Amino acid sequence: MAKGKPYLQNGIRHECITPVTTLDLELGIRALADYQGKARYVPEGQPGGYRAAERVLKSMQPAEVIDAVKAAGLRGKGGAAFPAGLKWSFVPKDSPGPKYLVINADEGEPGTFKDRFIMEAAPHRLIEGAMIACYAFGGHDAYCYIRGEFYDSIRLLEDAVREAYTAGILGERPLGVDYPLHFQVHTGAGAYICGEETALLSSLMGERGHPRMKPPFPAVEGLWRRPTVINNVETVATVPAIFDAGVEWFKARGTEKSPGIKAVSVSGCVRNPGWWEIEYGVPMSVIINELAGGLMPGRRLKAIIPGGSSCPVLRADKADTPYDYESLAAAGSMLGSAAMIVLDDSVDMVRVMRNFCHFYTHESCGKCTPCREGTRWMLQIHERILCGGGRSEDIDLLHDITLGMDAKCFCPLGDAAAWPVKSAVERFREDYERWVEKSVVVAGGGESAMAEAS
Amino acid sequence: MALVDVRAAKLPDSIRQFISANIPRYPTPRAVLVPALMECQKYYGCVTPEVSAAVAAETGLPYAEVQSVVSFYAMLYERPLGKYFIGVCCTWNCEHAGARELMAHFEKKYGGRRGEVAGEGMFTIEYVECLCDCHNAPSVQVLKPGPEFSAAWCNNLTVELFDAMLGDLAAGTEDALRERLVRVEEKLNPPDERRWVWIVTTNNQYAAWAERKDGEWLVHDGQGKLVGVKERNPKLHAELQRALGS
Repeated sequence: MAKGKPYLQNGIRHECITPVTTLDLELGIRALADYQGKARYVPEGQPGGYRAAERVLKSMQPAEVIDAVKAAGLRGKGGAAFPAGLKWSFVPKDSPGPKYLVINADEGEPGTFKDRFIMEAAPHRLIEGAMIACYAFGGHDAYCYIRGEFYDSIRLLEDAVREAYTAGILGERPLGVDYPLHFQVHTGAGAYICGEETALLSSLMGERGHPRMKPPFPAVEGLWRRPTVINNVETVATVPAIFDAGVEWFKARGTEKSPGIKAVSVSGCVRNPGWWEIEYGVPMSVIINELAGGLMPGRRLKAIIPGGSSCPVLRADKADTPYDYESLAAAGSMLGSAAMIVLDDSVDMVRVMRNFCHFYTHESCGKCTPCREGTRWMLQIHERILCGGGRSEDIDLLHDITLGMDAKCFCPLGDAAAWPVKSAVERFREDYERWVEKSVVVAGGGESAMAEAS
Repeated sequence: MALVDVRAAKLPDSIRQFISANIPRYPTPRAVLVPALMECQKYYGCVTPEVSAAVAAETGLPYAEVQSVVSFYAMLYERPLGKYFIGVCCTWNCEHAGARELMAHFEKKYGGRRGEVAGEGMFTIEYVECLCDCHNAPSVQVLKPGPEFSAAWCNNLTVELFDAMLGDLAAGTEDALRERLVRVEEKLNPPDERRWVWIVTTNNQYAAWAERKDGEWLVHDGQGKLVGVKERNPKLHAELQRALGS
């Protein structure tokens, strides 16, 4: 957390009122105050009005741009937290022919709702970030892959792209610089797996969204077998802030290893679920109590899923863990896509896990056997337990299945399905035992309707 | 599956224009396939084999390849749906907030099971996976396919609100999907001395401050989305006045 900086300043700035997006909060507010349901080009001269892109394109060398992003320590915000500057530097510089930037807006992780806001409230910030990123690694084309359900985001981003082309910000001579830059909005059609980078590339090329083996990594061989950088929306939208406000400004926020600001979505059993920007390192209990309004009256905290449904569940005693990558890893979970799901004592962990298993069963693409079969087995076992047919060995069986899935698939969906269940079995075994103990296998047990629902 | 007459279907001009305008933006024509199929889904409400065949003819791809893509993606339905498609999110946040009650209510009132056409062709309701609107759980997306496609969020729903919305849709009321007030809460940690409230509607949640001017409440939120609410949505304005008190 920033040295001596209050992370809760005056309510307007950090309290999300707002989809603030630019990560420079004041700039964000200004963009939003101007926002009335339609994307709007921020006029020249105003903060955020493509000033960063203009400066980068006109006065910086690509290598300098990459160095600045590396120095700022910007990490990928989609889940893997890979340093963005390093990723860009993997693109072979001497390779002739096109290189592509793909922006991953296939936001689908249960609990996450940050990229939507960025695209709806400050689409120009995303375009600006894409321009800088393309310039840095030598690409000319950016594709933004948005999940099909986000009709509003697609419309607003397309409007913004049109505005940018009309204003001469994108095109053959963007901002008067002889470096063609193009931006294409591409819609998906409802597949969580397409948030995985190689599956996303397959889908973008018009195929079924199946992941493939790495290497070759997309930075070397990606879209149409050309070098491709894939970044999350939030990562790309953060880039202009580094050049607007400076590397030092950026590094002064967050922790040493996780500098900067993160958009965190809080949902679940809190009074005011929503979307905030925080500096890395704020304790989770502060986010829950001061931003999200705390728990419902009379409830106690039971568990926190810190980074979306794919992350291991933490027990309530870890609530004071600082919200950054390293601290959460030490506590036994992950920051993931920063989608904090808060569970109180009214929640039964077995039901939560049944729901997650259902999600992953539905979303598994079926390419790798451990994931395709494992998700179904886990769902069936959860449903059996909830139907009153649980056996005591089922709990260990679930644990075994998760071990058989973890790191056995082409893409992380198998891991993502296994981790929450593994952690729930390990950390909330009493919930499973309660079900198994009272299990009597009665026909028409009370949970049948629940289990049948898909 | 029945044999498909590839010559039978012809895409409307809007989709043909979409395809021909977008193909040059990619190195290969195939890349336009998923967005083109989404346009068909929005236009027809489904992507039947005939529609797939027409897309195949338009893009120059083999029909089997198009069909392989259609069968993969969850948003592409291969059989016709009702006039309105109601996607009820069933992932945990929404399930916890009552998504199953909404579904049960629909099935009781309109008789159709999920996935079927119910209410005399008006509705098809279906569970969908996470819509990434978890802060507004339970979240429902209402789609109206056709040449004038429209999509609306209906969030923070209770069974009563859902019932009213369905009733208005079935009756063809113009503002059936208008933003309605769900509740107003005083904010627990107000950042300053103004009156801060959380306004929860069927469309969004707003952290806003309220001030009284000329005998009525004006609300200001950071997004500016409530600006001019009195003119745009008088019913919501009246509901807000009532909820904020005198």
